[in-house]
Amino acid sequence: MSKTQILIVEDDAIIAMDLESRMKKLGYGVTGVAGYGEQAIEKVKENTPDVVLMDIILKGEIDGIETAEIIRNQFDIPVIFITGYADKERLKRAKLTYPFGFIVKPFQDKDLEITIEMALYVAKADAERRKAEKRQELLIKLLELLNQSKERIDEIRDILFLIKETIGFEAVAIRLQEGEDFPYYHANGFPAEFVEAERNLCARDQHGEIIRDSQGKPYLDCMCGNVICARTDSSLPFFTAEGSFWSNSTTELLATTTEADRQARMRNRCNGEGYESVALIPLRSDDKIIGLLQLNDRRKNMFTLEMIHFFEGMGDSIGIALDRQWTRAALEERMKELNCLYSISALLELPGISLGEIFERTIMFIPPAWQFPDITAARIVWGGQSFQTGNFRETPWMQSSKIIVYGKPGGQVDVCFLEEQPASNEGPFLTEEQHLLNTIAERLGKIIERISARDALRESEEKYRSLVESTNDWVWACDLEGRQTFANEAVKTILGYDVHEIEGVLYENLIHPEDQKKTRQWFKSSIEKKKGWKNAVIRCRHKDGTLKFLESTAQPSFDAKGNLTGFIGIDRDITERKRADDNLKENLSFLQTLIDTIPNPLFYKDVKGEYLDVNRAYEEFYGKPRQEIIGKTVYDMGPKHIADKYYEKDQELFQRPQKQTYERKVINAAGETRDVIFNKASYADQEGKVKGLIGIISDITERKRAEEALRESEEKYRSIMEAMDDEVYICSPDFRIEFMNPAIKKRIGYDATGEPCHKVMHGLDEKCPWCVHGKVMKGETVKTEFVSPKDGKTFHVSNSPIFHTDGSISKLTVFRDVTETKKMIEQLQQSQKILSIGTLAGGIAHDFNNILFPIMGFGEMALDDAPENSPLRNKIEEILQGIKRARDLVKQILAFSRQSGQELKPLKVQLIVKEVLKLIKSSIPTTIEIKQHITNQCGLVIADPTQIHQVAMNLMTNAYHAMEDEGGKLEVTLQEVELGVNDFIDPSMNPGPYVCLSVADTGTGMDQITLERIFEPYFTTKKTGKGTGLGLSVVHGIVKSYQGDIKVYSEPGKGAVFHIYLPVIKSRFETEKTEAIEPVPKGTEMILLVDDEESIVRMETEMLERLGYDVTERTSSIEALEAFRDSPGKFDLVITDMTMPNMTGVQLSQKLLEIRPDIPIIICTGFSAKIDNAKAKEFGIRGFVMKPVVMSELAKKIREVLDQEEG
Amino acid sequence: MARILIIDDEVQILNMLRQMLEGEGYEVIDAPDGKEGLRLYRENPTNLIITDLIMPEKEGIETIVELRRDFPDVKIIAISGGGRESPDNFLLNISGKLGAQRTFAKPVEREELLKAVRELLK
Repeated sequence: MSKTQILIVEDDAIIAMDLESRMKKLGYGVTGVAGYGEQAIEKVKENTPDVVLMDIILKGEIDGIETAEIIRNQFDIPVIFITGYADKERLKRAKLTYPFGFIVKPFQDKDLEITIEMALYVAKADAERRKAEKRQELLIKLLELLNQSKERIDEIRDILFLIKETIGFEAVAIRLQEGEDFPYYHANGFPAEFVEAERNLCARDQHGEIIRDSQGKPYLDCMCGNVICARTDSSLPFFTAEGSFWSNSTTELLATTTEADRQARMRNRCNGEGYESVALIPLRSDDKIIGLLQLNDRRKNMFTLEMIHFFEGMGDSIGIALDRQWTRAALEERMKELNCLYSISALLELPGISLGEIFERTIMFIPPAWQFPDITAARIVWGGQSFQTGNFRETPWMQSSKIIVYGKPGGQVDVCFLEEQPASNEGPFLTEEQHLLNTIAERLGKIIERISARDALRESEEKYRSLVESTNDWVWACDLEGRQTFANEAVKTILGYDVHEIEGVLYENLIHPEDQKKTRQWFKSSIEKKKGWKNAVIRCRHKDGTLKFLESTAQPSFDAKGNLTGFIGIDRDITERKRADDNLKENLSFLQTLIDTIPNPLFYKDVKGEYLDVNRAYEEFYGKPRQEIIGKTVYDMGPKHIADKYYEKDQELFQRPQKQTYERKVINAAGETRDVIFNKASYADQEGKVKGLIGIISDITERKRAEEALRESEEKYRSIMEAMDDEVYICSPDFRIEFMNPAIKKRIGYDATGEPCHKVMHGLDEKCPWCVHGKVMKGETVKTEFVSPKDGKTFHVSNSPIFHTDGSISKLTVFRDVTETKKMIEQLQQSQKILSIGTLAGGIAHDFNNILFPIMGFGEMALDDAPENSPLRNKIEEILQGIKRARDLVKQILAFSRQSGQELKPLKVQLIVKEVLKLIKSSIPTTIEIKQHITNQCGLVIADPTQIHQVAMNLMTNAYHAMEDEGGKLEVTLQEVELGVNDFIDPSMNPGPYVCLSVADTGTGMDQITLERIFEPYFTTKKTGKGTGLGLSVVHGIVKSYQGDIKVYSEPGKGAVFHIYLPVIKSRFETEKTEAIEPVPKGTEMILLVDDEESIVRMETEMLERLGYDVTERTSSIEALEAFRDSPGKFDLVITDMTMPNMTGVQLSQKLLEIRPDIPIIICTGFSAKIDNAKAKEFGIRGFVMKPVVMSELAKKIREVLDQEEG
Repeated sequence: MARILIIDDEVQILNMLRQMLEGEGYEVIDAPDGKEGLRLYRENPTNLIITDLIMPEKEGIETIVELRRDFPDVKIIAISGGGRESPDNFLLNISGKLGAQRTFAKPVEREELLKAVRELLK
């Protein structure tokens, strides 16, 4: 323990020194020595002593007593008076200063020590007592304060004042919880800036946001925060077990403790402000810290632990009192609010109260619930109406709350103070008041909802009652067993029972027996599930026994506690409807069957384009079940660009309702592209409004294919018909021509479709005698051969039936010109005959020679043996002559049959012909004149010279034989000619230059029958022994083997001409090519051309037309004469064949010249034997052309004749 | 006197030729075909052979070829009736080329034949 410090106040320096030394001797410390009163006070202030030794009598302004009083009062330091003497007056005065002792001078050291020790003890005890008294006093006052029902602010103010005054602290303050923070609620003695800076405890980050701990609680700063948050460590000296903080020197604390010791971030404002003594005491209520008491003093050592404990006890009292007081205040407020709210709610209980009345009354309940009822006014605005207290006016101190009805703001409640009220930190209104206002507004909202619901309910009840009364449906109610408890009048109509009859009857007993089980089941399951049934159809018996169909709907009914009590139901008489429904269903079923039976895909849609239904064919076509289609649109069925097109079409139809047809390609279920036709039509409701469309799809793929195939087929047959040379026509059952191909049109000369066939084909007015029409109409195909009387041509005619799909038959007739074919077949037959004979001849020749050889040998020997004048000789000579002839014959046969062994080489035919002529001249009589026209420039022919020799010899011998009896003229001509395609009979011949050997006689001639057979082997007209019958067939064979040809013209009695054509390998035309080719002379005159052979007419016409002439052609001399007679002046020239039936060329010429003597005429002839130039001139014929006609010659001759005429 | 072998399948022709040639003083032997003719000639060669061309057993052409091969100096006259598939000229030409000194077509006039025989036997 430190020394007791003593201040000595003594104006006598010697005594003072004595005292000082004596004190020190006694073991006391001396803080100082003062000579007078003021100095003493200064010294006490300067260095607080434990005891003051004071001389009563002092020099200076104030004496010892007065000084002591000041020290005691100001510093509470015990003073011991020292006095040498004491008058009573002074003593009396000294007593008043409550001195702690008197020491009278002179005094012993012992006395001094006792006095000092006593004084110290008494002073200490006295101080303790006084402190205790003060605390006691403070506590009493505090409790008094706390028990007064004052406003809190006043209460706290008073508490602080009391603490400050009573305990003597420089600054005191209280923090109380407000929201999450604990700001100063009130402070006393702190500088205003300090309070302002330190008001809040919540730590905030740089953005001003409250910093929170891991549990989300706000972090409270500084030592205040520690105490409030109970972050105290009682093991540290500055924290108590009760959670208080205290320090008698904050400077020392800061210097001696660590940040960790101090628990939290320190703001150090207390220390900064100079407060050394600081105590922070928690205010507790139960275990909850609701605030803090702060005690600050700039002086050090203001606290003892005992004091802190005292304040802790006081803090508890304050905490409990404040908490209790708050609770009570809150309770009172709640009571006010509850009262207000209850009153409002109670309004609803008033029967028949209207919404307006509720508003009017409600505003009256509001002001009493507020803090200052006298100056509070209220208003409710709802539905454009305003309800307000009489004193209401809008002021700046107004609070409002919206009335929300069914989730929407519909009005508001306003409360205002008519005068300004002191603003606490909550503004003019308490938070609770705002809450209350919100609650009122909310309650009003509910009330409005309830009132309108009540009104609506009332209305609807009214409505339902009248509905139940007026409805034709049987409305009923029953208990859980199904016993009828209510029924409306409709039951009379529906079931025939009076209402009273029904009551108490089981529901199921009214039902048809067959449906009773079902109804029982409904009741059972409805009771279990607490659910009703809906639109259930049951059958009932009318009182009169008739069957009724009812559609029953029932709902469970409950009592107020929610217990199921029974059911309420509505049963509708649907007997009629059911009947109609059944009919409708039947109809619908019929329609559906009908629609499904339609083989075409069918669909119908509504105006939105959604499919309403499709038929079975549609399902099959697209391979989709109708469930997948119904309700869909085209956009669900296919790609958008395609759907767009259908959509457009649908819209088009809806806008212009009518039928719509279009073609499309679609893909069916099998993935095939099909050509279809859509037929669509819109349909409308009874008012004519378009409701949708119906579409039907026709698959025309097959039809299109068939059409295409038919078209192709028609095209094919048409081109066949057009291309074929055969003449074709089709004839109807009534002999009308239905079709003619171009070939027959050309023959007939025009398109005779529609005309009778017999008229067109044969110029007959009635059907042809040979008509096969009847047979064809029976389905037969008739083939005939027919020789046209018109041109003598042979036709194969095929008549076949064409069966039409309608059962009718047409006749198809095809004319095939077989003239040429027949000729060729005949020639072929002949060739084959010759060939077979040749083969035969080859075979027999050897044997024949073997026979002849011995005959000849023996004959010759016999002749040799016969005597000179024996008659035998002559006979043997005859035999030998016969044998030689036989030998020659065999030679001829062999020559004929010889195929190989011929020596083919290029040769000049003219040389051989000249040789033969030499030979023949020597062997024929002079009655026969020989004329020869041999062209030496004829081209080379590939041939066997012997055979050519044989041919020429044979022809000339024949000619000689023909004129042997009568004589005549043999004319041999050899020339090179150019032959065209039309000049040939044999198709194996090629166009080009030919050497033509003509051998003409003026002999007996041949008829047509003979002509046809002359090339047959062994056919001969000669007398027996004169001809072998092989000559001409040998000639024919030779010529043919050289790809040549042979032609004969002959008439009985007029002679014959044979033309042999042999192909030239090197033409004289070719060899002469370098020479100037003579241009073919042309002209434009009109020529009448006559020849009985149509092919010749055709050929010559072409020639003439090519030369530029205009040609009128005729195939008979009579027709030609008629044509000429009709317009004689029309023609410039007539070219006529010589040999024609009815009238020869010469006879025709004579007739023509009779009509027009100056008409130039050219005669074409195969042989000129009977007409020579002179004779012709005599007849008036201008010229001849030899057949075959060569174009260049003909051209030359025409010009010659025509130009001569002009000349 | 010279010996002549005549070959022909026709008996009448053999008789006729034998008379004709014996009448001229020639010694004549005959054979009905080439095979027999060859055999006879090998036994006892003659100065001349007159042969037909178309015969059974052995054709004249064959006979001529064999004779010419075995007896290079043999003298042959070929006579043919012609006909059959090929004309006689062809066979006769061939036989000429193969070694027949003279060829004739049947029927041959007596003088022509005898003239040829005389020339060949000279």
